[in-house]
Amino acid sequence: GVSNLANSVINLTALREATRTELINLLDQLQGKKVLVLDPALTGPLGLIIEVATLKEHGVERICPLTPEPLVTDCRNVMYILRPRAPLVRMVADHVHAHEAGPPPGKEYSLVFVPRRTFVCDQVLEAEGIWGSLKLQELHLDLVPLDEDVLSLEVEGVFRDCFLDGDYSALHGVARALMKLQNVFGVIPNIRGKGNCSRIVANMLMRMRRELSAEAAAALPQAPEIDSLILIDRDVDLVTPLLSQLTYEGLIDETLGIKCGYVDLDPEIVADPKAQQQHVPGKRVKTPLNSNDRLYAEIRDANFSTLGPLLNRRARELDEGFKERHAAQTVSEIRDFMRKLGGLQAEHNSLRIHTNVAERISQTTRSAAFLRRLEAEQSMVAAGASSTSFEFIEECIHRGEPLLRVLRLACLFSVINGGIKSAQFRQLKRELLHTYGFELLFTLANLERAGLLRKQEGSSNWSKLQKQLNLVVEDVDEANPQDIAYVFSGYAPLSVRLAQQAIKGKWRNIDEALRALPGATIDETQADPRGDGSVPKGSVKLVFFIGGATFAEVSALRWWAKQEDGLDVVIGTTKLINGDSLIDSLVERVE
Amino acid sequence: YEFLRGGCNSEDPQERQDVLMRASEFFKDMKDEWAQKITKDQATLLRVQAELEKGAARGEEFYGLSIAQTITNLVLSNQHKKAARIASEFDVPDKQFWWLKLKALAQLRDWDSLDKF
Repeated sequence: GVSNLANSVINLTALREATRTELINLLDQLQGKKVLVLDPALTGPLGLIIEVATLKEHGVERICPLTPEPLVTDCRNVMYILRPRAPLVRMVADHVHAHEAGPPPGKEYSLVFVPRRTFVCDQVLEAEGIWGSLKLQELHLDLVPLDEDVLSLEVEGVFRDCFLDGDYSALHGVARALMKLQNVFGVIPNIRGKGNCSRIVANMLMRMRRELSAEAAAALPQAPEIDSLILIDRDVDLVTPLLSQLTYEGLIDETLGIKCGYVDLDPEIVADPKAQQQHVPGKRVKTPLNSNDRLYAEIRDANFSTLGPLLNRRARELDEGFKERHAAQTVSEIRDFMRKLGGLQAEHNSLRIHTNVAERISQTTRSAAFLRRLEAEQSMVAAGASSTSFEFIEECIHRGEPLLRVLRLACLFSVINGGIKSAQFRQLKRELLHTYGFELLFTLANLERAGLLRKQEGSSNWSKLQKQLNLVVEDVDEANPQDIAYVFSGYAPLSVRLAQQAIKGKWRNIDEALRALPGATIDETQADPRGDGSVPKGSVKLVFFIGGATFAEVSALRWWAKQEDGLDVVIGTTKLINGDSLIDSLVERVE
Repeated sequence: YEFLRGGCNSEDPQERQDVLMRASEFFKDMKDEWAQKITKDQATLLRVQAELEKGAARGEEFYGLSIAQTITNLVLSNQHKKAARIASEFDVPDKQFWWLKLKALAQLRDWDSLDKF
């Protein structure tokens, strides 16, 4: 199930409990039986804070997804839980109008916006003429703990909003969520960051803190538990998400897709061949991926190439564990063994599943297409975008490889090269349109505006950045890593290099690199509003990615934090992404 | 672009082509040669595809496909000359044309043509 969060360096359980209590209160306000209609984008996040059984205990008779179809129910009470998006509010309005046209008795509606109501949604309700007939509420579900060290807002499309459309409304949500963290864990003394969106968020945070009422300020915890906040705009480092991830968790996401801490697996992968329990054939099994699973916690951050030996060693250890039963002679020895047995069986089960998942992934990683692609990526990162790389991209287009993969590679070429030479750029775009259809034109325009795939202007600063930030590390031993570069078998994620320097308080050492990267550089200190200069209680660093983080970056930060004495890192993001989902969010769909 | 997008959504084939031709004129005025050519090519493609559909056996669709898909479909229905003509008309690189033909022939299991090719 959901991560138990017990080992977290900050008390995330309290955060989760607060939201859970808020939701239960909302449910209890509607007396009697009720139907719960959920925005599909929220099923994942809500699943992480409350179980279906608890919902039922509080009078929920049925849960259904919010769709344009009319809602048929005898239930008098209907609660909608949704993101504040106008099209969704219109769907609700259609439901209400349909019910009004039907026979009485009338229904009671509660409309719960997550995390907050917006002016636009109020306007839609007014225009639909139902503003007065609904109870409008909010559920302040901001940062969802996906695991004991990962928090996500789980909001789609922030990258597109901020870096394509220039719509910064999502940043307000980021600032509110961080402010909420400060209310629980104290005012964070240091804020560092890179990027224009980070600048905006940092300013909002400082303003919100100044505007706190004396009462609210007095209620803040005395000693801050989080000592630094590092904000990073996704567009400061576009290279990292475009690369193929090589960590186990990253590869699960790239090949099978991780949604809100869960992956849907084929029944053959999950099923225990010896067990009686049968899974419905063809129906995928929702499987949690978090640190409750001790084995998974151990292998998730590993470079995939080392996974075989790791799993093998675990299997032998488990075997030893099971053999202990032969040694158990006395009653107390047997009792000890029985106590351990549950854990051993759980781990055995997990070992079987992960062996199967790894087997499935290795079908991809062993394929010629994957290996050639990886070679092309690595040569671009290490030696810059060459004509060989360009020819390889063209070949991928000619072969008609999956669109997102091809665009990802082309964008990588462009980002590393600081754009593509005019003639090459036109040729590339034309071949893309020829192969994937004319409608791709609009997507290409988006990629261009977001700075992912564009014409070259000026020279590339990649080789300078690469040296200044030590991005390429030779002779990486993936089985016994010495540097975060193990996650990409020789490339250290730029974003994580920035975070490392920011955490160490050595922004000045990388002055030149910071100037070469886009957006503002932030280095602020926040005084405690009570001004008593209390010493921070904790030394937790929160690294927050605006516009999405990849699992590879999470792994790199987690691995690094383990190496350094007394360093605790919690990772925050607007959403966990990979290169495919990043590009996909910019794809323009023409019906 | 917004205008062009609206046109691409249009159900009416004639309107689609008109929009593309007008967009092409617009890009000409803007001195954006690349966009001018690409929109004009697309209008031509749609016209050619409409003709292909007229002469096609039932169930074969061409309209609105990409150039690569059009070539693939022509090879699949054994219209190799037409496929080659499309490729040259729209400057499809030889390499890509081979790939498309190779894949389509393999899909047909037409090993004889594959040998000759």
